[in-house]
Amino acid sequence: MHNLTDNDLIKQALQADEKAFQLLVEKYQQQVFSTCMGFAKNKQDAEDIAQEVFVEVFQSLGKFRHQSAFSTWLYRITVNKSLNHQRKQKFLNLFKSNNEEVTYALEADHHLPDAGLVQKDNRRLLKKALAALPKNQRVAFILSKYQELSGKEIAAVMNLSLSAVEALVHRSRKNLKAYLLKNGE
Amino acid sequence: MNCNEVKSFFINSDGHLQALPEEIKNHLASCASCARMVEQMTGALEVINHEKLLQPDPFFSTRVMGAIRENKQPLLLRPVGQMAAAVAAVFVGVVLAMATFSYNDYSDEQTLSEVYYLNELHVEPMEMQLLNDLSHEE
Ligand SMILES: [Zn+2]
Repeated sequence: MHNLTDNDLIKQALQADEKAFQLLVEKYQQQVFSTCMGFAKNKQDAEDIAQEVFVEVFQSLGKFRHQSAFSTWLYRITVNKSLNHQRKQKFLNLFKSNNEEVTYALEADHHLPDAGLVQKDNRRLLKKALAALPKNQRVAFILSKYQELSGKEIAAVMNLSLSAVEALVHRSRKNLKAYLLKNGE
Repeated sequence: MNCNEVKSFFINSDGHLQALPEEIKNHLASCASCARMVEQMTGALEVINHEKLLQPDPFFSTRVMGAIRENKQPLLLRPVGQMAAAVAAVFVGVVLAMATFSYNDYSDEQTLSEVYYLNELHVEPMEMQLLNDLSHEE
């Protein structure tokens, strides 16, 4: 079963073979989860979003036209779900006071090494800096930094030209560092 | 070298910060403010490397399959609690939307689109959202 290609697994999953779909999940869960983590900055939220992604994939599998690689399609859904989640959080934050923003639900994450106070501050700062990036730059940055996707792969996910993506990644790195230097104190 | 030049060095440098030019090192050794600034930046960037190593729960795929099975059931057959939660979620969405319209400090388009989004969550096709999200930004 392990030598099956994505397309084999998709075909079997479409014939109601749940095991085949579970294999597909297991093959891609790390990528999907860590992309979600890049956006959500919280393990629980990232898992919830990743789960939503796979449920959506399952439901839409019949609509996958094989015009792009399965992974491209999967990343696209992951990015969408993650952006939706951020939008929801931002909306809910309108009803919260500045000090209890939902976005900063960065409670001690024991899965991280030395999850101390400094670490928490660093995560908060990184989260703010990423949130301050224009959406396209944020997406390009997370796909390139968290997933180490090539410019070409990112271009396919984002439906942009390679040169546009290269410019986005370049600007995102610069802007992120500028933010971190300006707001670090 | 002054503080601004140091800042712009770090903003424009692409790559490893271990091999810093002598003049940058000298400035950092004598300027506490820049040293702290650079430490914060590297600390925040380091978080990415930690986060990349995180794994989902070992039962993640089993949970996903459970969620898929649950989703396949017609709404009426699902556990009552879940249905109540769905009804409550819709209710909260409506209340939040109304609250936005009545207390609107920000009755701009963005707020409206957020409300639109909450209400249309289930009917908006994925591809359309992606096009809206990704193509027309910046
Ligand atoms: Zn200085």
